[in-house]
Parts: sequence; structure tokens; C-alpha cells
Amino acid sequence: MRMIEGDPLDIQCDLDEDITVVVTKSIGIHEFVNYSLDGSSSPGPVSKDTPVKFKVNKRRKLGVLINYADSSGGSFEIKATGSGGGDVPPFADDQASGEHFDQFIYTFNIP
Amino acid sequence: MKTKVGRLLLVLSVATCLSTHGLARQPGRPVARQESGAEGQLKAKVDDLVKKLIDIKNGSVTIAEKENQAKILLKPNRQTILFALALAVKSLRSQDTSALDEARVDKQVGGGASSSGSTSLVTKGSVPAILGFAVENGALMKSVSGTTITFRGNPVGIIKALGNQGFIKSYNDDTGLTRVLRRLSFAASFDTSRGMEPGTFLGDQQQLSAYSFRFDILNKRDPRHRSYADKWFKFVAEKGQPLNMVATQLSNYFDSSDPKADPNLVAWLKSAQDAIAAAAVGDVESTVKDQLFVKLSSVPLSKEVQSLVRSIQEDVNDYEQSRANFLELIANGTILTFEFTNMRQIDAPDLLNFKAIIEASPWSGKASLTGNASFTILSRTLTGVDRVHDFDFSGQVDAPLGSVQKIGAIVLSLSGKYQKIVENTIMPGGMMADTKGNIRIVQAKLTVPVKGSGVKIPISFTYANRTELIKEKEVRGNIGFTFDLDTIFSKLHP
Repeated sequence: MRMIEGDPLDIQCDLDEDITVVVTKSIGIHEFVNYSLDGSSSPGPVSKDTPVKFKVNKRRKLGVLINYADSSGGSFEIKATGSGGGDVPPFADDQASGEHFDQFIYTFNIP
Repeated sequence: MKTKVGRLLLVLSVATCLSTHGLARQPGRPVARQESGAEGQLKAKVDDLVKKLIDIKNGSVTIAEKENQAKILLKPNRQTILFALALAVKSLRSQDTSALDEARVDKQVGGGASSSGSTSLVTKGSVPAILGFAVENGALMKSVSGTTITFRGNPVGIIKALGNQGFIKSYNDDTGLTRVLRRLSFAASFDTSRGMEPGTFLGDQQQLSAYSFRFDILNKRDPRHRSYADKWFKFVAEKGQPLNMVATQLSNYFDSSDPKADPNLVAWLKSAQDAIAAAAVGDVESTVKDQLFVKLSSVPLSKEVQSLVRSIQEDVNDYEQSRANFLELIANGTILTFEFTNMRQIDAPDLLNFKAIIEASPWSGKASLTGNASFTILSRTLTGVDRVHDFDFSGQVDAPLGSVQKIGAIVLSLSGKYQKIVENTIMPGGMMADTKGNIRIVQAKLTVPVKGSGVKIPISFTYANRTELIKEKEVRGNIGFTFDLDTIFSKLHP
């Protein structure tokens, strides 16, 4: 897997590649992170230390919602890896003052 | 009423110096409720986007790389909720949450009841995160008046703040040792009537009249307390998941590679990325707001997109309301604290006080109840003198009055204390004073905040059947001054 045009959330994968996404660092976030594959209710809330795994058999989107514990000072780092190898840098963000959640979307593209 | 203006002016200058230091919120502090909703989140996300764009433009990479980074930052895979809220929310309103921090009634900033000059009859369960500062003039438990300056804080918070950590980062750094240490706090009180220059604050060993250590045995005002784990999961599952799902679905309409791509939204996005990426640093904010609140708002939307935008607005409002309600519940949790205080005597054994403090907020947080139970012993045995000096019980109810947003919360406190002195008191020079007996005290106190400054002025009236040293009833008025740097730091270093 590799990122497209320098965006760690926009990823080129192999067909049927197994993807793993996990929060690798966090400060001030709730224990559970929300994941939504292609806008569905699955995988749902998952403990931040638990990896989320799925197969890329089509272009897929994984929505992630980080819930902050307080009104400022939070931060996180999340990383996607693929069974086909390659390296995509982690995506990281700091909580803005007054921001209570952060939502972003991974896109896994296939050839 | 004793008001020593000269001394007060002196310590005000000390407070000014202290205010330049950073400090963080206390461990386990109740989280201030924010009146935000979708508008509050939109404002936070707009401000964050502008700040990040300015950081990019001020960076040291090439212009082409800056433009690329700006365009990535504006992609719908990061900003879908911002775009949806910009479409849905018609107006932004300012927020002032520092008033809510000032409104807290559970912090012990000043000295305890036994300090000379204290205006507190009952010791509170919470302390400032890094450093609180208090000057209180008058007398309560002792018949000798004096001016006591108290510094109270948390060692972990101070270390982190001096290391330039953010306001809450120092609170949330979750290593096991740090979490245990964070439950520990300290205080030191200086009696300025002591020492070589009475009336002048020197902060030396001679003026050190007391020091204390606290440990939180139970703190249910910590949002991460294990008793809240199930409620957090329910909140995240019921409020976070629908929002995440709908935002992921809406992002498809901005994504030119997606079958659901909306040509109007894709065209707006391309135009917005180009305009914002090309904007000068000074024009970033106006360009972002023009794109979000003028250009995007004029894009015709399909019914599907309109429906998703409405859903996101409703989900964000629902999320924010539930979060605020939950945090309010946490803010009313029970605190149980143990405190050890060494009261340093002049030419006499020190008095060692062991105190249990419990605090709760029943009636949906409309009032705060505090209870203390303690006993005091001499630091060493003396021939013919019982080592146990006294034990006491006290209680206090605090009720905020008035509007927090308009004037800051004035707090009315009613308290009572019973103390049994079981041994005569050793006076400076070794003389024994006949102090055995029972002391009963009632007090009414009004604490007036100076809005936005972290300063509070406690004014109290106290009736006692006797004091420790004089067995005559006493009615006394006290006025004080407390300064909680948390309030200032939260503004300077969010």
C-alpha cells in the first residue's frame, strides 16, 4: 500500500489486500473510537487499542470518529497497514480548543 | 472587620508575578459544561482550520508544497462535518467558558480553617491543578489575627506546565505513575506576621506557618473513573456512531472519484481549495469564511445531500447535549480526600492534623456539600501533657447565586463546626493556656468573583461560643482575597 499525493488518508492498495487500522498514540481521548466502513454501522465503537481489520475487495471508505475527553489538549495518531506491505505514515491530529470530536475518512483505492 | 490595605497591596504584587507562570487544570476536576451544540463545534472547527492553514503558509517549504498541503487539509476526508455544519448552521455565537470555571465551588484555594487569617471554616475537596494563591485577612479559629498567604498545587501539574505542556495535556498524560502522583497535592502557608519583618511577605522558613499534603482516595469527578466506563460506551455507540456513519456517507458527494459525486459540490470544493491555497496569510480567515458561508451556501443541493446535512446537524446537537449532560453528572461526583497538615508553632511542638474530607453535589449539582472530620496531635510527647490535642467535625453547604454568564457566580456558604479540645494549648515560650473544652462555630460566607480574573473575594461573618485561646463568645467579620491561576492559564494557554 502507498499513499496518494502525500495524503496518509488516501491510500492505494492491492485487490483483496487485508487492511489493519489502529490508534497508535493518544492523549485525552475516550476509550472507544467509532469506525464506519462505507457508511455502515460496522465495525462500530471499538476500544482504541484494538485494531480494526477488513479486506479491500472494492474501493472502500473507513470513517473514523475520535471522541475527546475534555475541551482541549487531546491528540491522537492512527496508522493503517496492509498485508501487501508498503508503508503509509500515520495520520495525526491535535484537538482544537472547544472541539469535542474529530472525524476523518480513510479511502482505500484499488487498481 | 480588619482590612489591612498595605498588606493586601503587597501581596497583590506577588500575585501579578505568579500569574505569568502557566498552570493546568486539576486532576479530576469537573469538566466545565460548554454551551456549544453544532454552532460551537462549527466555530471550533473553523478556527482550527484557519490556524492550520496559517501554520502551513508560515512554514519553510516551497510555495507549491504549501499549496499542496493546504489542498489536502481541505479535502472532504477531513472536513465533511465542517462542510455540513457550514451549510446547516446560520450563525455563530461566541462562547465564554472561563466564567464557568470561575463558578466552581469545590476548590480549596485558600488556607484551611486552622490557618491564621483563614476565611474557610470547612476544607474543600478539590485543589487547583498547578498553583493557587490566597491571601486572607482576619481570623477565624484563633484569637490572634494575622495575614496568611497560601500556595496550593499539584506537583505533576507544575512540572508539566513549566515544561510548556498544554492546559489539559498535563491532565491527560496517562502513565500509571503520573496518574497516582496526580492524586497527590501540596500546600504551604506563610504567616506574614512572623519573622524578621512582620507585615512583609518573605516566604522564608520563619514565616512558614503550615504545610500539608493531600491524597485523593476517591475522585468521581474524573471522567475516566472506572464507574463511568459503561456510560461512556453507551454514549459513543449511540451518539458518535450515527454521526460517523452519516458523515462518511456525505463525503461521497464531495468526492470526484465516487459514483455519488455531486458535480456542484465537487466544483465548489475545487474552487475553494484553489482560492484558499492561493490566499495570503492575512486573508486566510476571510477567504475560508467566504468559501464556507457564502460560496458553499449558494451551491444548489440535492434532496439526498440536504437530508444528510440535516442529519449531521441533528446528530452533532444530540452528541453535544448528551455529552454536556454526562459531564454535568460527572462534575457532581463524590470526592473523598485525606489531608495531613503540619502546623508549625513558635517555641512549641508542632500540631499534626489528620483530616478526612468528603464532598458531594446532590440536587443535580445545585449545591455542594462538604464534610470534614479530623484530629490533631502534638508532634512530640511532653511530660504531663496528653499528646492528643483536639478532634473536630464540620460541614458546609455552598449554593451558587445569580447568573454565571452575567456576573460570575456569587456563592453563598453556610457552615458549622464542632471542636473538642482535649488538652490545654502550649503557648510560645512553653506556657500552658487553659483551652480545654468545646468550641461551636457557625458561619455565613459570600464569595464574590471578579469576573474573568481568577480572583475571588470571600466575605464572612462568624459566630463562635469561644475561640481556642479566649473562652468568650465572638462575632467576627472577615474579608479575603483568593487567586486561582487555573482561570488565567486556561485563557493564555488553551
